[in-house]
Amino acid sequence: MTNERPEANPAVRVSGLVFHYADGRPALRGVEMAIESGESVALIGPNGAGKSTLLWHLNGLLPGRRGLGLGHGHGPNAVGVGSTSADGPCVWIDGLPVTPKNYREIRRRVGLLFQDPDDQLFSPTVLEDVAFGPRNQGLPAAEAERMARDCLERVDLADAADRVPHHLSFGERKRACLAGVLACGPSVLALDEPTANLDPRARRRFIELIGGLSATRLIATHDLEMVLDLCPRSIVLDRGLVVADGPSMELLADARLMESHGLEVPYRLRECDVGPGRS
Amino acid sequence: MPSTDSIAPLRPRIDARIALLTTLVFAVSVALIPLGQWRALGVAALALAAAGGYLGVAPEVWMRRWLGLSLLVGMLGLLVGLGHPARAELGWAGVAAAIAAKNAVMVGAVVLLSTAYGIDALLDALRRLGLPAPLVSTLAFMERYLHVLADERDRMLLARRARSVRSGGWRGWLDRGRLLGALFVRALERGERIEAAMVARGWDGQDLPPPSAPGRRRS
Repeated sequence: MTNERPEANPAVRVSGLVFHYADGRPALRGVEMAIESGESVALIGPNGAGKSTLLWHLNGLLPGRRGLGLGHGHGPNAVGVGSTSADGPCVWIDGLPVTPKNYREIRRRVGLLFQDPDDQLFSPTVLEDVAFGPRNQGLPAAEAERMARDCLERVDLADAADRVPHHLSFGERKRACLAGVLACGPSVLALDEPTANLDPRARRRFIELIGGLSATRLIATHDLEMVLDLCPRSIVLDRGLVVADGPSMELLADARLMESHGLEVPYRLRECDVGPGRS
Repeated sequence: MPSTDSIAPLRPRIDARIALLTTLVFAVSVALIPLGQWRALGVAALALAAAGGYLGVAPEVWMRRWLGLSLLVGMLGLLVGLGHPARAELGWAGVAAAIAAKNAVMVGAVVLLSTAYGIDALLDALRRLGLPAPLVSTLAFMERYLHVLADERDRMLLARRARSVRSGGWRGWLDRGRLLGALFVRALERGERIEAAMVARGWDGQDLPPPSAPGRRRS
């Protein structure tokens, strides 16, 4: 690994990413992947596969964070994003290495949607929360508010601008979080379980919203039906390794692959028989 | 899901800043009353009751909130009473009762203020009184997550009740202690995730943007 930019500049490039939890357990064991601009890719795998940890690396939140058992936990051979190791960075966003020097720009480019909206909505009103990102980017209050209102309009929450987040429904809170991410103007969206805990109507609405976005999308999810709707390509992650990468229709129909990595063939593909599993 | 106690503020005519400063002066005055001066404390309690009547706060709402804090006040009295110099004169029970009573009156005043005005008006009053913006933002932040933690507590209580045949006796108290411990750990973890979510949107760990103007928030 070198500090030079890779020749091609995919929207997301991960190379040799290794990460250990604070207790020494390996979370990522040499992840390799590239996502082209405009692609919509599903990141699937069982619980504890390292999906969320990988998403956090794209935004530069890891390594280097204490708590949650996620900090400073590099093993002897680990190469962390932004580490001072001679091996250099191992995640690039549009060719820009994810290092502390670039965190400000990286966090503008990569929008990270958290699984639990209560982790993300911390402001007294929805509008203030959505304007939080633009304010951090240095926009004047009026301009940030205008952007926030635009984004709330996009997620169909214009009427909720002055509401208290705690009083929104779960689906509304999820959409408010998405507005907060969109307000940062990201070119890459990293979505962590975007449809988890949503009722069918809210889920459908959220899927439509995500489907209407033009940014590059990496969606960590267990909702394989959604994957079929939104992601032509899937990456299967298990025990910190990419074990399969290919067209969603093929991977998700591969019963052996799905079952061996704690997944299930989605209901819609149950009748298909694509052939032997891949790894 | 049981929700937190959210009674609409009364929005009294007196400016929240004046009410806030009056409460502060009142609390300091009560704190300065010497231990054992029950008559002076009684006068203060009467004045407080009159203020509650004037502001139109329903006594049951006020008392319910006040009782929620009374255990803490009682514990404080018992603990401080042990080593207080006035113990020789008033005895441990006397000192503990006097400290608890003084604190109860002060807490009652604060509860009255928050019940009558609500968090929005008080945060705005603090800002207009010149309290540093980061402190006001932090208080607003705290208020936001008190609801989340209260919901979490309710869920844990519900889950505990669902698996409990009996909850009385020392085992019940042990369970409550464990529940509080678990809630504390969850709160810490939640705090980590919230900070991560803020950093992910470009926050550099410096000042938070100030909270919104008064009257803007709605349920």
